[in-house]
Amino acid sequence: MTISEILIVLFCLFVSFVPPRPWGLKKTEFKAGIIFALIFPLVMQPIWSYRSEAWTFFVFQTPFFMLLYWLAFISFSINISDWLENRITTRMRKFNSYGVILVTDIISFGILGMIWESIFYRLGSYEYSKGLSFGRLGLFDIPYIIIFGYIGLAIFGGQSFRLKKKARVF
Amino acid sequence: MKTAFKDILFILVFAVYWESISQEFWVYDERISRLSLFEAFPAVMILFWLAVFAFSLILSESVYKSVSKSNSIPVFDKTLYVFDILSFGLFGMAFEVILNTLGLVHYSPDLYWTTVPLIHLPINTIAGYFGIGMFVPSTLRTFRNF
Repeated sequence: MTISEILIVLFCLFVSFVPPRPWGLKKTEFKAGIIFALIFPLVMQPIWSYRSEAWTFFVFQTPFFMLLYWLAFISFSINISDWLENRITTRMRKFNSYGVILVTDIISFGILGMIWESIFYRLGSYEYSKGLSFGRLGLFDIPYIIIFGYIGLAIFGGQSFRLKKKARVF
Repeated sequence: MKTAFKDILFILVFAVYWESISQEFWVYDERISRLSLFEAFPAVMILFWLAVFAFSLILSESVYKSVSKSNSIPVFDKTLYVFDILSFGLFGMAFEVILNTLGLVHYSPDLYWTTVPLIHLPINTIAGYFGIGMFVPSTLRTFRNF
């Protein structure tokens, strides 16, 4: 296994136990995120490519472990966001729950996404396609499009993942 | 009326967001890029997204209402979810085919597209429209209740 894969396995194990929750709930999280994990790499294939030396095996041109990463990432981001929202609305009841959860989604997806994306990029796990001339955020050394991608995922997808999890659908 | 206003606002936000971050993925023909927003994308693409969303939501919600024999649209329902995926996928592809056929959009040659024969659309774009149907409509309906 490569370093990226080991990190993803550790992340998945961590997310499996934090926060503590029944197996049934974990299954619904898995279901809610699996289709995204399969479709998103396909949609973004022209934008970046995964280095073959950084991954052990591929599924439809996507590293298998990246599918696991997306499942763990979505599950953990939603749980972190829910925890933050609960803390905020419990202490400050005047805030609208939807507005608060939008902000907490952006914070959790955005920060967690930037950290992981930066780690994978520095490990040389993938590269952005030629011809892309996005500006880069210096500290994390990742293009702005990636940051805005995670924020967009939070804004347009966060609530959807929750609803799918509640409805137990893929 | 209030629902329609909220829907339009949501779609505008989505359209500006998506067109802004996907600037590098494709090149718009100068026939439509003469009038651009934020010097980033053609203003007419706002109408494109309004049309895709309008047709898709009207179809999926109409079919849902007749199948479920209900007058109200829930924030999330498994049947509605399936109709959303299908209608966004189909209308998205249809409008994209029109844009492509008229030569109004060219996919960036610097990126690695896998094109589907006959309709000449990248498979990534097709997957994207079905993907939008999976996630964005339920978020839009959540926003309606905001």
